[in-house]
Amino acid sequence: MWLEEVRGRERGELRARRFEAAARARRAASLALSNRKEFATPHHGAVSSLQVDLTEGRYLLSGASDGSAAVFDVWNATEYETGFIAKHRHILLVDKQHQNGHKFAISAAVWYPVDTGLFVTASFDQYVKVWDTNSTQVVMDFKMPGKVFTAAMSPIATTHMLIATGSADVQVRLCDIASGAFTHTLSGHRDGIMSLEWSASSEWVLMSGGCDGAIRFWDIRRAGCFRVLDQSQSQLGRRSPLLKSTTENDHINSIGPSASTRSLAQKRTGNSKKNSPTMRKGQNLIHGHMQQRLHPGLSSSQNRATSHYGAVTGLRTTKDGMYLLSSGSDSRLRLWDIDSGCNTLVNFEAMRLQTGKPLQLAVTEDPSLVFVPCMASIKAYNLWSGTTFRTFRGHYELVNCCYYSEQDQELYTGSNDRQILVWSPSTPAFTEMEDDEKRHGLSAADEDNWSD
Amino acid sequence: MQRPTVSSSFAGRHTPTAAAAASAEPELGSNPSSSFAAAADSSMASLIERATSTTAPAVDPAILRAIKSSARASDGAIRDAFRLLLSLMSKPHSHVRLLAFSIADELFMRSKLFRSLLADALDGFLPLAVGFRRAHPLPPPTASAALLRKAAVQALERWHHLFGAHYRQLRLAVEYLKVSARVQFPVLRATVEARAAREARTQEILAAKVEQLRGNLASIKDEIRSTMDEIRNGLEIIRADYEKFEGYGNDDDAEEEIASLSMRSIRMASLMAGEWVPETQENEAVFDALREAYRLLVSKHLVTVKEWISVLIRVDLPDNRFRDSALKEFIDIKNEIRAVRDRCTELGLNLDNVRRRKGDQEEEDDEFWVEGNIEAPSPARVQSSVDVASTSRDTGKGKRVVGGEKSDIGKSPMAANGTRNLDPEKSKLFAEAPVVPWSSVLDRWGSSGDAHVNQRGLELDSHWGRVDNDAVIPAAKIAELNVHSSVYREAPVEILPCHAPLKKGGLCQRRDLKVCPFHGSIVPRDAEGNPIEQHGGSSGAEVDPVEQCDTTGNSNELNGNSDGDYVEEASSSRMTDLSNDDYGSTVGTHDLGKITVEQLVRQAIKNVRKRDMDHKALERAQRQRIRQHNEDVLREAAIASTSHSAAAYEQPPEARGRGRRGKTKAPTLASMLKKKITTKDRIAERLLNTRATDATIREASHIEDMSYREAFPNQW
Repeated sequence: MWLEEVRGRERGELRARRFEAAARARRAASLALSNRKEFATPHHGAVSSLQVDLTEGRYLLSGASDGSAAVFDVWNATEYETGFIAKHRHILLVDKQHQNGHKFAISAAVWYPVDTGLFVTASFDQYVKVWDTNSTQVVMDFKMPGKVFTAAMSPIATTHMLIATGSADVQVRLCDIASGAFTHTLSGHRDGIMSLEWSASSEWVLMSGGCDGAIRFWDIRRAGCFRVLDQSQSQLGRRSPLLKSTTENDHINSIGPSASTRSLAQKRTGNSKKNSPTMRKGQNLIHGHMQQRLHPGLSSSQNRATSHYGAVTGLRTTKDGMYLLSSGSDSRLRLWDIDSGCNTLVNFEAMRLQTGKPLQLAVTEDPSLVFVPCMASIKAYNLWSGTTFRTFRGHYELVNCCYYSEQDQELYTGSNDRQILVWSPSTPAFTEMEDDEKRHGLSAADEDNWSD
Repeated sequence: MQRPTVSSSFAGRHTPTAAAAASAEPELGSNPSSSFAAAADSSMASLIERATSTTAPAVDPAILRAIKSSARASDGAIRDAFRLLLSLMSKPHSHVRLLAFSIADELFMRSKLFRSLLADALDGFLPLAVGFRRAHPLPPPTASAALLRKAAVQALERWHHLFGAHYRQLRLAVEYLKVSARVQFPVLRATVEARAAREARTQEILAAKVEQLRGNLASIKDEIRSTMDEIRNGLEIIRADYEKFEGYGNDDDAEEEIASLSMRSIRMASLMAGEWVPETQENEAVFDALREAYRLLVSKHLVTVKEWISVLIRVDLPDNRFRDSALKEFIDIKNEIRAVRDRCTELGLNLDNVRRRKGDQEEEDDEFWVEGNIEAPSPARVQSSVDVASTSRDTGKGKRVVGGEKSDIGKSPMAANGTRNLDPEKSKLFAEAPVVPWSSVLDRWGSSGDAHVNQRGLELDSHWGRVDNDAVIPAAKIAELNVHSSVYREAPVEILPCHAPLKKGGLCQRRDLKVCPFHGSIVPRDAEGNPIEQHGGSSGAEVDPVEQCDTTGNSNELNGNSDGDYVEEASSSRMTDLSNDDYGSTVGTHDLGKITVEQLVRQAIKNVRKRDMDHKALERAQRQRIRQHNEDVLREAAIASTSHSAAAYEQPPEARGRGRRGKTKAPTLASMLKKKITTKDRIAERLLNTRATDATIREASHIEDMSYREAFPNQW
């Protein structure tokens, strides 16, 4: 089949993109615990955050609950054990011993999206710190009003360099690296903010999930949130139905400036402003025309729609920016259509999720699979059908985060047992070959040994 | 079969378990050899089922072989086995888990497929085998659980060593258990290797030493022999000299030293007793030589001989002839040396202390410097020189004390007493002197001056910083320190015996402070046991205590002033507080009808007692019978069980069948779960809270590991 594709590509029957996508998908489908690659963990606590840098796809940044953050080189191993096990040691570590290190657990560690010269850590000691990677010094820090649960930087931003931070406080704050001050304070949630995600299609749109169960969409150029996701508002299928969209113009008006519908949205901006209060009012007022003398941004704060029962613990958009995945402390995973703001009603099979912690989900780039930390294992679900594709077992304690590296088609997972595991596409042929070469140096060959 | 009721219930209670065992075990027993010929029965499921449903400590090797051979046959069988073993591992029974684990271990070591299957499920498998999760400890039979845990940890380490490079999961598991779960891994491998290396090195050194010895064995022997000869000769000379000296009589020095005749006689006696030869001017040279030789012998030769012996014992040579002969010689030499040394000590030659002689001389030289010059560390000498210092007598006296002490330390006080007895005034004082227990106070008795802080003359320079050698403790402080205290001791009070007359003759010898439990309050009595203050001896003088109580009770009842529900078997303890005074009063009041009433009562009691006795005897006989029967049953059971495990194959089938159906109670898996609570358990339960329990368990397992390591150093 593989050769088939190659031949098809040779003959020009298969487009380059399709060929690549097929190869990626095949590799993603064959993920397994890697025996060839391992990270030597320098952490003494639960690994709570993982991210590979967005520019090179080479440096893995991990944050742990002992207040340490480390950087690993994903490509080049520091040493090889017994000939072929690539052991990756940290190339950078900041921990409590560091003069500016965090005092308490690091809840999020994210790369500066433009280059690897900076990274940001958010900690329970109420600080968000910006580090210079090369000198391992803090270049800037922001004091937050509560424990910081999450921090996020927009991967596509070109006009701003804001760090969105969610803390135990009810407000989302945007910290500006350029000025070293808070530029925005977004209020609307009724409880702490557990998860934040910048839109993958618009650099101005921020999505936040709070402990109150609400997911709010913010356009940072305007006041207030412009959308609250409601779990009872649902659509069947991946796209909002075409017929409905013509009849329910109001509904579509609320679309944020996402890539696919930007022109449409811009056309209707004025309309949307006028109508938005009516639909923000919530449940039964979608078709009503009750005019309220409220500021359009403020009005949305009265919308009490929830997307999960309990806290929203994780958010992840797909690469194309059209869908949003959210996990909640109700042990549910929901797939939202960002365009329509509807719950797509994909039923992800039974899972059990951690409730008290922010979870880091991962999605493959096509998007076909979503990786969810389910207690001590990681489950891969088919994004569209919700069926369990595979369960990755290997951690001995609760898993907090996973990160899928698109470039290498590798999955990195961090858990309470301090380990960062690498799940890489299994390549059996390659394994066998190398085994033969290295066999002499081994203590015992891995083959059948029936003495009787 | 006629059985007492108790035993039949005893047997009946166990029938269900026996039946269960019978159902579980028959196939096992009926296949003596490894020929599990029944092909239909040899599927993996039934084999594993059979292997794990026993209470035997290990899997039957025959079944294990069958499992292995069928697993080898196909991958499907291995998958089946894996699935089954995984489900067995989650059974709430540690013994089942243990057996399942041992099978899994066997397969893991052999099959690659099994390895890969198990590696993928290792994170679920390990908690079941090691039980490191606090929420899910290993299930009940604690003995099996401990075994399982140990086996699992050992197996895991072995797997990790052999296959760790191929399975990330194994490396992960070992690291997790070691670092995060803090499971104690036996570091057997490392220790064994280290020990072997050390052993080899020492053997090398020892062999070299023995080679060296081979060259100079003769010279060593000669040297030692010559030293011993020297000592023997020296002893001979001293002996001869002394005999001469004795015959020639006491010289002047001795005359002067030993002032009194009595002292001299004492001294002579002590000398004769110890066969001790005094050291004099004449034989000083001999003594010196002897001392030197002795020292050489003890401190050098004996030590070297011992060293050589230990070397020869430890060395492991290809050719042992030289070693044996040398060892023999050395042992002989050692015995000889010992004999010589014993002879020296027997003679009372205190040859160990070479410094002593020198010290004496120094003391004589430095006589003018009296205060606080205590040179030698030996306590005896300290005492004597303190004596010298405090009394500050003339030199003759000091010498005499020292001389007296040289003879025997134990004798010195007596000698001192002897000298003191000379003075009549002193003896008078001595008679009225208070006797105080020994303490350091006595050192400074009567002196009221200041004392040096560094009384012993220790050289403390540059040890503890700056030292002021002239520092003194003021007299007031010393007085304060010397305040004499003693513990109050109560004067012993003699507790008089009760002396109440007993029925069987004699007097009660109980010694109670105030009240005898049988005869009431203790009153002074005469020789027959009659109370002295009390009038007239009563007729109940010869009454047995218990009976006496009864009679008292009876008289109470007759009297009508006591409670009517009197029971004849009333405990004597209840009656004790009443008995005596009541007795006195009733005896007084019911003098008239007493004889008849009392006789009647006594007769009644006797009858009742007799009946009682008969009843008791019957009961005892019954109990005896039951016990006998139970023993029989137990013995049979024991015999049956041993035959079942060891000699089941020799027994004819019908006999075995009968045994199983009848009284054999083969242990079942369910019976293993029943907790046997010992006294130790109960005490531990009470004493320890949960954390302490955990700690002890960890400790215990650690100790087990240690003992295992000791017992099987070459296995791991």
